[in-house]
Amino acid sequence: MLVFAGGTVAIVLSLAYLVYGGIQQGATYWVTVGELQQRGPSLPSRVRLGGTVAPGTVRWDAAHRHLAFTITDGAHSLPVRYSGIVPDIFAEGRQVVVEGGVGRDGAFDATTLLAKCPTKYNPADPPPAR
Amino acid sequence: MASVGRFALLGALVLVLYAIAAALAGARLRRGEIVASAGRALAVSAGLLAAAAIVLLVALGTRDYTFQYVAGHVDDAQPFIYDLTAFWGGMEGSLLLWALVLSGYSLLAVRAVRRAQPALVPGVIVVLAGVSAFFLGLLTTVASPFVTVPFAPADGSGMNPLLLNPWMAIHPPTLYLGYVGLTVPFAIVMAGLAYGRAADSGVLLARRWMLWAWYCLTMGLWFGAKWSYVVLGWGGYWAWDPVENAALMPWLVATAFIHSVMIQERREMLGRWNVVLVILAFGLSIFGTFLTRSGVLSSIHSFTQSSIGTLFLTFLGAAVLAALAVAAWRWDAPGMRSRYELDAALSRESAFLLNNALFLAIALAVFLGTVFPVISEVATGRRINVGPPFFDHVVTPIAVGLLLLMGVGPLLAWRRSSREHLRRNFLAPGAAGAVVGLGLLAAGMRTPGPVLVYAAAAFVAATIALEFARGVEVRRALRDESVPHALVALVARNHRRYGGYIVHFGILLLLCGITGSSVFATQRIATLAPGQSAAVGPYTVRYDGLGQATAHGALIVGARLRVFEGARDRGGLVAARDLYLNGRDSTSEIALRSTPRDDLYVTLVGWAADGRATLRLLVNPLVMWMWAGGLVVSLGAILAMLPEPRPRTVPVGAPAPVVEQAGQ
Repeated sequence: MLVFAGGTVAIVLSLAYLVYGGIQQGATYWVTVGELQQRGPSLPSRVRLGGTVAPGTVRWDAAHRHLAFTITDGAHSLPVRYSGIVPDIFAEGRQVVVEGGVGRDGAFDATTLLAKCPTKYNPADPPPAR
Repeated sequence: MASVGRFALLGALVLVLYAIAAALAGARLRRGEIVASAGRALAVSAGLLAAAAIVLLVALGTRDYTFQYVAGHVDDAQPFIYDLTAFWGGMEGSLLLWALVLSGYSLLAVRAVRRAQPALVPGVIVVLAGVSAFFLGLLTTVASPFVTVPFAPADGSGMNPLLLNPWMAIHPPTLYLGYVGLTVPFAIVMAGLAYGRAADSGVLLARRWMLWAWYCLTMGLWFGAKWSYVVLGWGGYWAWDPVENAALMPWLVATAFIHSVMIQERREMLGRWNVVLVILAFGLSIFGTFLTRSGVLSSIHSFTQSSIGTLFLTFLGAAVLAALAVAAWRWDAPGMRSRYELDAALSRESAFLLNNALFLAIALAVFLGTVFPVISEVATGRRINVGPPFFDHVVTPIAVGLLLLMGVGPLLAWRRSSREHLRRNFLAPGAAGAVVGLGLLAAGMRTPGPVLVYAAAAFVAATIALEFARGVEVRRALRDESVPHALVALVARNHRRYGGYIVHFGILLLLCGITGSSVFATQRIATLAPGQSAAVGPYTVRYDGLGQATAHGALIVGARLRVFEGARDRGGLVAARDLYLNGRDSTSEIALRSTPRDDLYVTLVGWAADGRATLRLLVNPLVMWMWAGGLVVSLGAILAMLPEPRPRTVPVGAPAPVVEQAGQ
């Protein structure tokens, strides 16, 4: 019984330790464009920014490797730079989530770009991610 | 025609409500004929659900755009087969599929329970009909697939092209068979508890159903991974997306149950624990549907923001609380209390316990990571996301622990392992693991994680081989049989046990594939003019120019590629992108060359007017092992599920047998 109790405690403690380490490694704040602009300096350097791709702002180079667009939450907007793989479902007017930080020139340097499924699945688009 | 569907659903709802009332009344009044009428009501409601499903299928097949559901998920350009699979392409259809599958399961379950434990029939009917009533309630109110419009649009809006894929056609129904399948063991165990004297036989009866649900979940996850790999074009098969996690969590709990139920069967221990696992697995199956259908989490699959979410959460809370209350009420019933104590720390039982603890630890970690944005928002007002790094960090060490345990567990004796027993069992497999580990180090593999995983995998593979070899040896000693004949006979006579080992072997292949492809993958992005080449891993890929075609409502732009390995010409490939004529959607058609050693995986990222193309080239080692592992798991699970040749209940209450290898 003692072994059993000891084992349980050991497992719980190691799980807690792993979870704590995982959160340290993997946690990113989730912000909107407005929040990022208002309280930019007080936020950690890496955040997850959700918003809509502003129509008419998407620019990419000839080979589609460097992407620039403006992300908006309706009231505020921010230019985004990204280079890497653009998801198939990325398009103007769609919801996207970018991960990265604000660069020195005030534009958002994204290291990952996630686009949300165009919701043929649903009757209505989900509201903007907070 | 829509009204036929609506009335069928309404009728089915009334019948399942009647079934609940009749089963309760019949059990209370001890009137068998009233319970029998509840069973018949379930059967008729299943028929009505089937009729509703046929109505929807016909509407989809004939592209009847007066149905809102049809107009939303079908269009004139898509192939006919995807008209039919659009059945589960949307929420209303998925819920109808859920209810349909549940009604089919209900009939089978009631029949099986009537044969094995007639006393449990009313309880099983009440629980199954109760869950059905919830889904039928949704289908007749907020999520009706039979909403029509007076003026049909000329064409439907079609499905997301990413869903127009054979893997996606079978992935959701397989997963649903698994999700819904978890309701049956839940119903049986609840009925056993309520009846009071049949808790343990209820759990044992539930075992086979759990195994089936587990099998379907496994295959569903496997198909989903395949879809992600070949269709989404990002080069991976698992992204720790909430929707994936939603299916993984019940799978983990079901896996824990399948293991711990063996202890209950043989040692009459862990009765309470198993009941809790069954409730947990059921709760997680509803929670998974809630996650995917409520839009509570923002994810690539994010779903609607309707009243469905609240309804699901209420139902989930009520069902789990009620189930836990029943379990608490029967906490000391026979079969709940363990008959024996754990004898020794080093025994088969404690290995099973540790296995359960680790599976649940993974499930808990995945749960935390999945709902972390919600928890953090409630707790701190800020939404914090934990991405794949969190899951990799937490799950990898536990998974390695489970891998080792998979080898150690079967080598330990029930009750207590002696020193002699350990030495005899661990010598050869331990040597196999050491040889592989040292060999990989000598071959220049310097990353410790994979070396450990492959050494452990070799160790586990050796223990499995040893189990088979010993069984064959014993048979050959007793009868004069050839090796293949003895092997077949061995597996046939003991298919649960050896099916289990085959599943373990498949999981080994899977883990080797996952390790190889996640640690040793190489990628590069290259922009090439026609005639230029790019080297990636052992391959050189020459780009031979662009081609164009149109098909199924899309313009297909393809880059012609030629693959060389050293001087060897490995043939041509095409990496294409389908641009849908609606102007918004595009999908990748990846170029893929699979070998047992590695996959060459090329996506066309973009192109320019002068004919230059940008390609993303990936070499993913050992991916084929993963797909093979899935097939082996499937084979083993089917073997394990075959009906028993004859009932075998041999509880080991006596002192531990000296020779283990002949027994189970």
